[in-house]
Amino acid sequence: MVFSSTIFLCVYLPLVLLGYYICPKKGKNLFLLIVSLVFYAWGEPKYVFLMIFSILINYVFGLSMDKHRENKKRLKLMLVLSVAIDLGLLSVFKYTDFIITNINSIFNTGFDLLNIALPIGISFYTFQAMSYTIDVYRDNVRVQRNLIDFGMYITMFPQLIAGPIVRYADVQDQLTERSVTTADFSEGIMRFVVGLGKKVLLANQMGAVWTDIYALGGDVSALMAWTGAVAFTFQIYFDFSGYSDMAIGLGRMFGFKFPENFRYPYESVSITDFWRRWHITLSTWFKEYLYIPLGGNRRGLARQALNLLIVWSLTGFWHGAGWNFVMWGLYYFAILFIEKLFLLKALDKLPKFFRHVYALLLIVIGWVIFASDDVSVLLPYLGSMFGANGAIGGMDVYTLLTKAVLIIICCIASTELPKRLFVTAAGKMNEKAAFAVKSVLTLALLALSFVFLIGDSYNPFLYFRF
Amino acid sequence: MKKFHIALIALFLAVIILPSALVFAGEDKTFSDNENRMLQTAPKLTMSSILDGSFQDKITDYISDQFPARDTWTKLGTDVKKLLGFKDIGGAYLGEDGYYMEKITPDSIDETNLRRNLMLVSDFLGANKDIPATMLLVPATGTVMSDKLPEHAQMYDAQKLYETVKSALPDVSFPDLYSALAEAKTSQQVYYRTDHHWTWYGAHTAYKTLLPDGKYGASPELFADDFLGTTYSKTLDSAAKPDDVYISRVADSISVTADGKDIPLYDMSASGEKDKYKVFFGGNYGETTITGGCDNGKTLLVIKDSFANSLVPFLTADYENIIMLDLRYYMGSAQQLIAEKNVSEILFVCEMSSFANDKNMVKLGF
Repeated sequence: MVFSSTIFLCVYLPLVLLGYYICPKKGKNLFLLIVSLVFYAWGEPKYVFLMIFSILINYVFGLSMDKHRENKKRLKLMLVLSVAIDLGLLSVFKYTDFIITNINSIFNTGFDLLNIALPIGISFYTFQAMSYTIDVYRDNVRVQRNLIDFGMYITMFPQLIAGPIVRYADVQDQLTERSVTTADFSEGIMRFVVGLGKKVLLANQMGAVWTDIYALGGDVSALMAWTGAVAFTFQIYFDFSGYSDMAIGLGRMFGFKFPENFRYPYESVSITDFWRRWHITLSTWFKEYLYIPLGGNRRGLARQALNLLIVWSLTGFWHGAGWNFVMWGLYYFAILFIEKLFLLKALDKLPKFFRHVYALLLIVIGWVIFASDDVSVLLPYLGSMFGANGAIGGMDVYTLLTKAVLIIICCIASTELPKRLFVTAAGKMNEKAAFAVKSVLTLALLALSFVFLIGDSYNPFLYFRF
Repeated sequence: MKKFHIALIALFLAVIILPSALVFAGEDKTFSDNENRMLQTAPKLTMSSILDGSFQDKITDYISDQFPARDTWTKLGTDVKKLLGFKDIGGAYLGEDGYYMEKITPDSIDETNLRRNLMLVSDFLGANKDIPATMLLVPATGTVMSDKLPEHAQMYDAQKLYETVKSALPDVSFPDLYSALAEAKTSQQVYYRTDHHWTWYGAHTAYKTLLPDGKYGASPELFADDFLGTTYSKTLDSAAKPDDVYISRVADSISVTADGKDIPLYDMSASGEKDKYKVFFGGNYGETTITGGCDNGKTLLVIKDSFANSLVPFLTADYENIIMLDLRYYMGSAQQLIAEKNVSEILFVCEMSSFANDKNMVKLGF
């Protein structure tokens, strides 16, 4: 089930809200656990057992690490085991077919693919579970003795499928102590609707542009290639940040305060800056649980380079089982390391405008690598961006002109400008008037999202007899 | 302040609850005219349908298919998209003067499939060398009516495609429909504005190009003036103006059999349906036989798509027997049919891009 569907919006969400608020306080976490499992089971019921297994494993390891805290060796062994199981499950379900494909092509073997369906959200909840066990090991969090509260933390449907990656340390208190005021709830609604609008109005439309252009196979005019690349750049941002907004908004409706995941990443002035603004909870996770334990920048430049290489290869690979994702990670490793060596200092001397252009160019090219799941399309596509097939031609002018308004809206919506304008305008009104305006805008955006949501389900068939 | 919060919460909940409440309380619609497809109705809840996930899929489709005032929401979506400057919606161009034209770009022509189809047709005709063959390649609306396309919009190159097919099939005669229609459009409306088919005038132009001395002579009569066809349905643009549909008389002695059933050549009940183009034979069938329009003993085999449905009525004046095969639905052997029915001529009638992209030509070899 995705948030941007009528079944979620009009059936699941109202029922869950209703149930949650009539449920007595003691049962609220159990209720959330159950409905989250239903949410999880919606697409692939049998994976509920995988989820329950993950919960139990991490729960039990947490308890026993706490019990044997004095025995350092045993404690460490427990941690290694639990991490191995978590990563093992992730590898089996996410990367098996990728590994088989590569073995087949390197050794000319003929192993059959297992065609394992990816359990939704496995990359996200595995990392959440690991944040718990690792922090129990480090004694950063209290061990969770209540299986229901722990299960609820792992499965919480708002951030289950697309983040933000909420570390256990961030919410351990909220698991038992949380309340929702009407202000929280209405703020949650506003945040949720903004996310829904981003996803349905902007991401989906830009996605359609990218899909059409990518389908042309890479040999297109430069104008077409850039139009497609920019469209994907907006699609991924509004899709992903829209999803995070919806998660954060839903969390608020149930009294949770999840960490922010995006901070206007396309306003970045360098790639270093970009990665402080893009998918913040993932970067934080890798920093906390991998980069710093590896030694971070404290063991000399060569070691730092190696650490960065490890972190960025895995960051890329985390995004998907494909070489394009690994390449994308390595691409950022290279840029970030060069920036660390000298480029960042040099950039600082440039006017801000040029730093923006520099960062955005690299970001857009990065997204082309990311989006090219067919690596054989990637090189021709990048070539096309730099004029291998001429500047203009085909349907490019038409595509750009008919989507120009939407692209301009995307440009504006990806900056802080709308928010700042609203804050300035609201400053001139009293609190109630400002809230009323915000409410009207929210409801209008909700209605507009419905318009596009329903329109997308409208699907004419010319011939349907067979 | 709290009252304001509560007001927003109440309105939000109302907006998300109301649609599904109406769906569950209301009666299910079973068919969408505009989409020409069955809608999902309330699914049955069983243990096995939950475990295999089919219940979840069905109830998801159920809510979106039965969403209250679904067409109105879609129309609003079209209005918003038009406001944003979109010039094609749902695969149809929003053209000048109310033309809604299928968007068939140069890239959508599958060259490999085209070559395969040309081989298949060539083999098919090679096996029937003594029977003269003609191919009517119908250019899509946007190619002939290119002056009505949105600015910078493209269609496949109809003339190039015509030359490609023509040079690959040297023994077949190829009437130049594109030029004929391009000339006719200056005095008549040759394509519907809201449907992908040709009008009576378009079909009649094709007839006169095919048989300059054809014997058919009746004039058009208005059948319906409220036709909103397939390209309208793709966009659901509330600004669309309906088309007139004309038909013209055929001999009373004609009898028509479609897939073994007797049907009228003109299905007058189509005037009450959404798809008025269905007036021609009531739609598409695998094998349709039309006999008794004249008595010259000639038998014409038409391998066709739906463009032929409005052309064939004219041909009844020139062929005693006409057998139409629609390869999308035909499951028999065309070769065997030719041998049995003593076919004297073969005619292909097919829109160019569907000729190129059609996956059913392989059935010609059966």
